[in-house]
Amino acid sequence: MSDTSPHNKESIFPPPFVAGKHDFHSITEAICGVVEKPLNINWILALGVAGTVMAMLFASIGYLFWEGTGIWGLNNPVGWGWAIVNFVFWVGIGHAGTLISAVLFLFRQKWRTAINRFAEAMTIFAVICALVFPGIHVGRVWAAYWMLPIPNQMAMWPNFRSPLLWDVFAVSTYFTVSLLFWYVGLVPDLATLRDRAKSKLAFWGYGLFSLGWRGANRHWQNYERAYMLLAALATPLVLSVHTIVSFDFAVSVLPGWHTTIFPPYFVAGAIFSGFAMVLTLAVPSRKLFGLEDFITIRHIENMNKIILVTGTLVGYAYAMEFFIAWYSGSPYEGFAFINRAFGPYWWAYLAMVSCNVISPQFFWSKKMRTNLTVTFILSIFVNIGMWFERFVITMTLHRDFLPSSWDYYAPTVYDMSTFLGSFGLFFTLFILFLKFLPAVAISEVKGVMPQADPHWEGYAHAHHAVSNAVSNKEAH
Amino acid sequence: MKSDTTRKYWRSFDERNQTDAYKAEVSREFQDELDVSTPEPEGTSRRGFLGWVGASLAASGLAGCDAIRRPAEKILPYSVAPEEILPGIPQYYASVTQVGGEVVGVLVESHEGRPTKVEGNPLHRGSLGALSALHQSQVLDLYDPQRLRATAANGRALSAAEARALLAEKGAAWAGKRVAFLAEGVPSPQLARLRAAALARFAGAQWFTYESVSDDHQRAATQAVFGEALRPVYGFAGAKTILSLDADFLGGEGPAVAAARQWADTRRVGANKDASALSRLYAVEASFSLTGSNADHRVRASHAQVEAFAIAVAGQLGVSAPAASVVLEDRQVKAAAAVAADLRASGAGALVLAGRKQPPVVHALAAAMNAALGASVRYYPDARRAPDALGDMAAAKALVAALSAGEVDVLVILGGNPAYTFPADAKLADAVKKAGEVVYLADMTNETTAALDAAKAVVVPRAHYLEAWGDLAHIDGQVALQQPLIQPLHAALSELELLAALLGDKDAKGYDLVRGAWKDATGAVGFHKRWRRWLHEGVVDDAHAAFAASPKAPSGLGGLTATAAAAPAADKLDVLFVPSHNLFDGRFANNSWQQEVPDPLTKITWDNAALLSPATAKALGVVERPVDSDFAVDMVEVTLNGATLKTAAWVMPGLADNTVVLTLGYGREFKNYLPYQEGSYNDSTVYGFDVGPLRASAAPFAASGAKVTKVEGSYFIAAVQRYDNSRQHSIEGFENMERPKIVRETTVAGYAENPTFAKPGIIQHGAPMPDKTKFAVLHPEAKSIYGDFDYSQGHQWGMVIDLSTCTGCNACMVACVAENNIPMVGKDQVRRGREMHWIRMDRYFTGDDANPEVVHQPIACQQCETAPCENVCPVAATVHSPEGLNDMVYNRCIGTRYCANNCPLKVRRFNFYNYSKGQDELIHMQRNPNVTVRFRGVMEKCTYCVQRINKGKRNAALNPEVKQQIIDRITPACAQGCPTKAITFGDINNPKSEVAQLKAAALDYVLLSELNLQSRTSFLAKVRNPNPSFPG
Amino acid sequence: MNEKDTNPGEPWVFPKWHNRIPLIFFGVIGPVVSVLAVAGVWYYFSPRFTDVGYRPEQPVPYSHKLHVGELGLDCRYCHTGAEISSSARVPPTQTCMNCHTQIKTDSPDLRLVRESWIEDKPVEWVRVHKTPDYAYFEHSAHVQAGVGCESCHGRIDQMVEVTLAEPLNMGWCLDCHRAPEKHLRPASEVTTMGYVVDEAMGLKLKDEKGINPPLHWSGCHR
Repeated sequence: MSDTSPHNKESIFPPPFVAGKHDFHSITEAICGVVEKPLNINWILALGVAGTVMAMLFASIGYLFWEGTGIWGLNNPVGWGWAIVNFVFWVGIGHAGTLISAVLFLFRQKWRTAINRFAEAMTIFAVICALVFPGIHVGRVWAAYWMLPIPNQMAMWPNFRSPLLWDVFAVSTYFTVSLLFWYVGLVPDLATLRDRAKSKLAFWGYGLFSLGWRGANRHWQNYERAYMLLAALATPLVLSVHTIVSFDFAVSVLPGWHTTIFPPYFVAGAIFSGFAMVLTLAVPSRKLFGLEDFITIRHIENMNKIILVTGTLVGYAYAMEFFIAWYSGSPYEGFAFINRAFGPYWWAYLAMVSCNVISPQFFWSKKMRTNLTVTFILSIFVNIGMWFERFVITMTLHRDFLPSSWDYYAPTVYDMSTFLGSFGLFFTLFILFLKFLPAVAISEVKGVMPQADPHWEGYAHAHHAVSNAVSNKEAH
Repeated sequence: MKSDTTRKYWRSFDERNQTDAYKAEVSREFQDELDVSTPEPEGTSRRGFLGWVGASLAASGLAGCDAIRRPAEKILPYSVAPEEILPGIPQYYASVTQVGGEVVGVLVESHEGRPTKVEGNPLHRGSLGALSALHQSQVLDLYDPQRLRATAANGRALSAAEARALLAEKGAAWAGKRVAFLAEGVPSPQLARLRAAALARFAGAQWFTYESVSDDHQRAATQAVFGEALRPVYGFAGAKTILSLDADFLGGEGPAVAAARQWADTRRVGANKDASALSRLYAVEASFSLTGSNADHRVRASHAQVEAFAIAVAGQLGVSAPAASVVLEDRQVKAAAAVAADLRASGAGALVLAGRKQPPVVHALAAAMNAALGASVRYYPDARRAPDALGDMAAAKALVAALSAGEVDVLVILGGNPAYTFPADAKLADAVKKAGEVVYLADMTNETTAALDAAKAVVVPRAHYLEAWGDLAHIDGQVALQQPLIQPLHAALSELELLAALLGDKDAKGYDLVRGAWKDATGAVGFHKRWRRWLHEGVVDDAHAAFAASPKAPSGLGGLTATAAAAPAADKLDVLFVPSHNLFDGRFANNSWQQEVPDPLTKITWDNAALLSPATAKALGVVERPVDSDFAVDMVEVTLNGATLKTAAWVMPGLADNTVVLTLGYGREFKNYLPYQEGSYNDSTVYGFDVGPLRASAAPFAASGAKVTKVEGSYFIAAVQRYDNSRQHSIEGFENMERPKIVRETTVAGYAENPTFAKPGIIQHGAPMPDKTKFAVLHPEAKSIYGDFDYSQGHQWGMVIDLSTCTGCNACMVACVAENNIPMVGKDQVRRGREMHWIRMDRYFTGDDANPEVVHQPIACQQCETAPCENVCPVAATVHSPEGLNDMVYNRCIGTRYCANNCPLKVRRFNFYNYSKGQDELIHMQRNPNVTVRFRGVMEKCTYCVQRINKGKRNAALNPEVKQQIIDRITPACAQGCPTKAITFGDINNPKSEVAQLKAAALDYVLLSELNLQSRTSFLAKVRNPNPSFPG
Repeated sequence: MNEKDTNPGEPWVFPKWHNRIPLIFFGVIGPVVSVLAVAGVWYYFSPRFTDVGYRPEQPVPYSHKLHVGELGLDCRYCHTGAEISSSARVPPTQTCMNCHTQIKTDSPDLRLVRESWIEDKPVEWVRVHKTPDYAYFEHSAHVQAGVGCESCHGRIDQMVEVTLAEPLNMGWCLDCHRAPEKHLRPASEVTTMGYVVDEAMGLKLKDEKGINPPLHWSGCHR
């Protein structure tokens, strides 16, 4: 190991992205170690719990298909309930991933490297959870494929005017691109795992998916190009997806839904909730898997800053909704918002505002931003708050134009089991991911190490360090 | 499944296989004139095969949305085709029915022999072309799976023929025995004839007539002032001022269907410029009746004060009246003065009606006032009972007394359910066991069959009116022939057949009895022609009316004096017993249509509750629960001379204080199967509370001195309209947030000075957007996102609903259910807000809670030209037709429910479950084959009865020479069934059509026009006719 | 993998030639398979394949070929009402017996018919032409417009056993509703079998009768 570490030179070097004494080899060791360690009991327990909850999801869905949407709390004015709330909630969470990987990548935000893998995985899994709901919430699941423009004996096309149809395309596109993006990023690391594989199964498995990566110069060039292209492709999607999801509401005529502020407000909210979820996952897992050196306080703090910004944006949107409701002069619009805040669902509105607008304000202080416990708790608050935001929006249905048709919506046990179950699905996938794939992008982290700089004067003295580093690169 | 069905119904036709009978029928067809004594041909023809052929075809309408080719389907043609039936073309036959003695003539639609829908017979004066909700629902009873299938006699199940034989021999054996008959008040000349015969045959036999919803008081009064029991028939035509003393003449007292129509005709403004000719309605009442909700001035008064009010008015009209026993409040005194003045001013145009809850003296006063004013009231004998018969309550007591004393060897019960409906102090259940033997003609197992001693009882299934021959006399004597549409589905007999059998004629068929009697009565000459014409028209010529108006004039009050009564107080409340608007006296308890249609005022379905005024409720600590509490309402205990009743409490604005209103007919088990009726909101299928135990024969409608206390526990109520009162429109602190008026109303004076008051801010159909409206900001200009479709071509369907004449009686809701195969979902589902009615009868209170005014507004799909539901459907399952219909395509719908969310009026209904799952096939036979039975997971809504439109267009194409007439006659079920003709439907492109003219009327407005919906359904604003000099 | 391609000790898993697999898969097999799959579904899943040709065995071996083709009965002799009702009725036993009380009175094939006649119970035919319950086909409208029986039921006069000749699916309906002239005949020819439609004539009829088949939902679904 080199005795001269970058720390001596802090004055001229920017603070490191990787804390602690690390060289290329130790990084590989640290991150691959997580995967290569034998299964430990805690992990198995965690998986067991998550799996059980996931089973609850599938049981609920089975019963739903058997009996019909009547098992939920839906009624006549309130045709959409928790299913749609959960859908928007999960899609929202699915935003941070692409944002971090694509946008921050394009803006050369190097600090993203430690968390992007993480965030992308989360995105994929969240979008999977989201996709479950629109699929199951329709009355006749077996006919749901009519939404797809497939030539058929009825000579019927879907209705391209319907935002629900745009949704189908938007979300599935987003899912595909995110998946590709994630996978391309994984290739070099899979190769690393392949090379270090002890068991034949791992050797073959990682081998198959690493597409014969050998770390040749040409490979790296293609890789960089592909990664750049996908990033460029994914960036507009970050905006489009939630914009279109917001159209599901904004295109209707209902007071409280029919507003132009929805697209930006939904996108901001999505990023907000996405980052919150990343933190919720990152804070504990960096501890559990000893990745503190890679997901440093600096990462956490940056994300907290983004949460502060987006949270405040969302708060602005809430205020603006009210103003416009009053300014529009439409009594229905006005009533819809008064009703949100003071009607039967006042508690939901309160939860939304306090969690989304008030709680992030703590992050004005660096102390809070850098405090892990606070960060974790607040991130949970934000998740709750964002779920309630979608609940409040959907529940606007319960009182619209004619008082005679007003009603009240209350969820049934099946609404809850389905929602809870979706978390089971999410965490099952995530726990598997942590165990079988490198949770931090090894190659990218190495890319931001001082050693990656050919002129790093450490090389002058520590030859073995050089050879070490080189051999590491050669090894691929 | 179909072959099963077939076999099942096959067996149920006892005499289906008489092939010679059909030969007779065929011959009859060709030699009508010669042979006038043909037996009614049972084996064949219209009433022959039909049941089971119908069943097989009916079943084909049920696969719902997902039809699959295999397994192979059978086609079962007739072996001998009845001439008049061509599959696919429904038959219509005239018949007649009654509920509680109120008769309406009907036209019955029959598909391949299955009666599916009844409509009013315009030639019948009790119907005038419309029906009440109750009469509409009777067709469902025909197919009630709970009906008795065979006669039960000492453990054996007998066919109809065997039953007849048994009865005949019983009758023979009864000579010298003490026989008692108990019948319902059915005004049938044939029944009267057989009654006389029976009384003659069985020496010393007694005949009791009992109706739980009794007109005893009216009878007593007329007995006193006319010397005989008479029923008044009010001439609403030309009435100027109507005073209802607790008389719910719009809600079912007397011939309500006709009365509603005649009254509405005096309230119609339509396109008229001048509304000054409108009649004015005053209602004085303690409960809140449908009539009260339609009154221009509703005077809230305690039960006793109604009498005092009548006395006060009578006094000022110069009618000698006794001194009132309770004092009127100041406002009531002033009101009485104003009413009296108004009545006097109207002279012969005045009408005073007394309600059945009121004591005889009020009826007498009403008669006297009408006489004094020269009002057009005619009095007819009461055909529901023998002239010398005991009153209902007296009859009940006498019968039970005789039974208990063991003075009855044989009891013959002709229909009804006396064990349930008898008053508390005449307990038939115990007494009936003392009878030597009992013959009970019953619809289904009920409280009475349970009370019978099986060893001594013969229970005979009672034929439905669509299965049996008979005749009924309207209140004014017009007779109509009750013509069956189908052979009895089960081994059932009619009252007439049962009596005839007891009298020894064991092969008597209803057909012979009725036809024979009418032949004897009117002579054989040309009888067959006459008979055929009567059957065709459904009514018998007035030359053969059952009775004529009585010439008698009332003589004073007939010695009736004021009832001694005290004003109700917090410790001794008044209790009022009102017949249920939905279940009547309980006879509809097994009819899901009636159970699920909401009460017109409380909007409660499937239940009854003790109604309390807000003040009384407050005093008792009963709180009106917030809507988000699942309507878990408080329970109260009502104690009335010894008897107690624990029931749910419901706060009802406008009731008299210290008064409890209890609804009859509930607390009975609903025995039919609804797949999702049980759930967390109801654990049993016994709905509501039986108030019978509190109901004494001495005070069948009004009692005083009750104690009411709030008790532990709560009860789930399924009410379809949760937000109704003005105070509930908005949130505390924001009450005065203005929203555009949904219901627009004015007064006669207001209309005169500003006829177009309903227009401002309204975007008219086809007209450009007015630039200065409150909502102009929402709609800079009226544009459709579909581009402008040219609706000026071809037929363009539209509807106008007149809020001035809509009484909120629910007839349209039930007519719609019958026509469109709308599933009933059960209390639990209604509670969850999933009722399926395509028409919603909205009820709004205005004014203060103590004595509010009411508006009824039927809301169905408005068929918007720029429908918000259409563009959001991802699969184009709801789209527009070139004739302006908003088509809903069940078989394309995948159930995203976005259309329902986006419907500003929330008129779309979603099948959250498969609501017809596992129902008995008998019920399926009622289904309309021209309307798809919807499956789970699809949206549905009002279609303007597109099946009728298509049929009309087809017939017009087939008969070009009368094309226009046929098109003009196209009518949706709701408009057809509306007693007041408040709903008008037609082609708005035809300037001559009524609907087009009404749409041009000054009062015409559309809902939520600021959304530029371009609705095809518009409303005529309500015009009230208040008395300017009435004390505010 | 064979020894030749891999040199031991090297880390890679797959021999070089495996690089060609993706190319082969995505370049050759993939397209071929997917094209086949689409074509297969297109053909085998269409009603034209699944439904057309449906020929259930009927309880009575009634031959339309004999009665229509050879004896020349008019369709409406048995299937009355087609021109005025929504459904063309399946004849009652009565209709058969009009003739078969005189001829073939003891043919074993007619046993069921005679039984039905005597015992007064129906002959249980098996339905061949079935539209779903939510599709309301209106015989009268089509007959009046001049759509031949043949257009939907095929050459009945050549069928010994009735066979489903057309798919009767929605697309098929719409083909005609969009271009009725291709199927219209003069009223006199409605029941004719093997009539060759002349489009000019069809257009003429279309204008004369003002035929404008519904293309909106409620035209056929309620």
